[in-house]
Amino acid sequence: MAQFGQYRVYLLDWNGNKVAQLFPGDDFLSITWEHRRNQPGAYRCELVAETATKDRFLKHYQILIERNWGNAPGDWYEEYAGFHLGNHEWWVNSDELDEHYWASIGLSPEWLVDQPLLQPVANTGNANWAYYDLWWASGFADDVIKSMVGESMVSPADTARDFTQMGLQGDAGAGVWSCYEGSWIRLLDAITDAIGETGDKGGCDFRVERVSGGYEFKTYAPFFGTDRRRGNPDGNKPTIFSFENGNMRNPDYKEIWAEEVTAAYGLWQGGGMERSIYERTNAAALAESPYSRREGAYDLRDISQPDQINGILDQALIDDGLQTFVTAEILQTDACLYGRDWWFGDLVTLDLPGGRSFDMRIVEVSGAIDGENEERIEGVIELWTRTEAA
Amino acid sequence: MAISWGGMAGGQIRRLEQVQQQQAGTVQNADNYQFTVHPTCPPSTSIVFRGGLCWYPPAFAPAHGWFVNSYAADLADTDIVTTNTSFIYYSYTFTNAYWYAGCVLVLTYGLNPDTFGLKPATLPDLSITLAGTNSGLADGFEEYATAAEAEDALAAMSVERANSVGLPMTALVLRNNGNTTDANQWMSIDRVNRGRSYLLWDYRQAWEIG
Repeated sequence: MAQFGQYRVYLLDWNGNKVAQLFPGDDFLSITWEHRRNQPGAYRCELVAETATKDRFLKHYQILIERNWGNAPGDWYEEYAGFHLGNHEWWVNSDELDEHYWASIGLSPEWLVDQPLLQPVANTGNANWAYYDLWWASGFADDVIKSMVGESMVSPADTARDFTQMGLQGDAGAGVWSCYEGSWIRLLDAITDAIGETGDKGGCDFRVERVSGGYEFKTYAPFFGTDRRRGNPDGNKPTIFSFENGNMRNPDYKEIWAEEVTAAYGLWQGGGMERSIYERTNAAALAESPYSRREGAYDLRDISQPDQINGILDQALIDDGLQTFVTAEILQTDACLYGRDWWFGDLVTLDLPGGRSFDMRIVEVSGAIDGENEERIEGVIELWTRTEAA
Repeated sequence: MAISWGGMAGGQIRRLEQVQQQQAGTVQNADNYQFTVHPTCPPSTSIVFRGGLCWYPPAFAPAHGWFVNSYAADLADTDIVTTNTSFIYYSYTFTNAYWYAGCVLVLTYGLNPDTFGLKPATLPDLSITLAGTNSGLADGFEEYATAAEAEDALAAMSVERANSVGLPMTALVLRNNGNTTDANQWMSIDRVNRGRSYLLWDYRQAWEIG
């Protein structure tokens, strides 16, 4: 079996300094990790417990995985970083065995934005009262979620809430313009509410990335990743998974419209017969068949500004609309390397037999290596449907 | 090396959410959601009145609940808004660019006994009076360099002036948009103070603060 990537795994301290090399190393057993779209991705690093290496792990130290997709020194890149958020220690005893293991478990730096709460806006410079009753802002989605992070953990009005190792990328004025609000919910949940789990609602994605001395919250509009589709406008070398290229097998394609909501009703505020009702429909889907109308109700009583409702319902029509599932097993070949020809977030092309071709996005990647440097890479792809105009 | 690809996860959580949404099809606590004021997303300068039963008629109106439709009104529209509690067709032109002025938004539509109970689809002209903080000035508006000063003036204002012309809906802090030549030039209205105009004390109605 071909071996593609070379790896180095380090333990980092709170300032991002390398304090120990775990792999290659005598007490290293394995590490698994995952990249998830707009969410923290988990890792688990297993070591032999008898050595002192495990004792160097302090709360919130970090794991860094460096990977080289080729053999040249310039091909190294940072594949993954994750915060040490727990220990797991276990023993294996039998007549033949007397072994002792230890594992670090944790999450990628997106975990950081799950720490603070989105608190109401501080009434800074005004002695009348300290806080409003909610956090609220309007603007482009990527700027607004940066404001959420900025006011919750990077430069908060209450300096006790400051994460000193956390930075914030400058505003870009991209994504969807709207109003966004929340109060006393986790910052990560507020960001998810603002841009959607897929990033489609806000027209952007976010990541928390390692920088010198700490981490930085960054946004990417219209998406995080590289466009490697056939005919991509950036002129990148296309990555095409197909039988012909020998890098795909067992493709599977499903479409399900059994629960496809084509008429969405937003139930705003008001009791009984005074409740305000908003309606949005999927006109194209309704026109497909005389039996297409499936109605869905959405409780939007907590929305303070009704002009947000149509956008929320439009997103509901997508989320609860036609479900299309495309899966395939992909072969990493010399001509199609992970880390060079495709990575987490990228847009790629999937060619199915019969001439059908799909724009796909790599929305999750999980990887694993063991002490023998044997790697396993798995990915999840979804159809790419986001409007790309920033 | 074979790399397996999984499909999108099933919609279990989404289905649970859908059940909750269906169960929330009615809202029991009606009064909290009745007849409230909501800004719209900038750069709009409009306000939305969420319709419903109103149980707070002014002194000269019939003392029973009345139903108000939902309306959107652009507060920069001089046809809809007057800025004087005594005269209609008044507007206000700021003297100082980017300064603030506090006022109470008063709904005057529907309070004439002759028209009471009528519910036109759109808000009639001059349905809104912006009652400024200074009864001594002809147009009632008073400008301040800071939002805090404008809020202080609102806190000290006698709401009787607003009550006398209609139904006080909310307090507002209006901020000039830099144009000191034309009338009713204020920035868009936010839910909180983000450096533009904003609803004061959220959208609680003025009788609660009065």
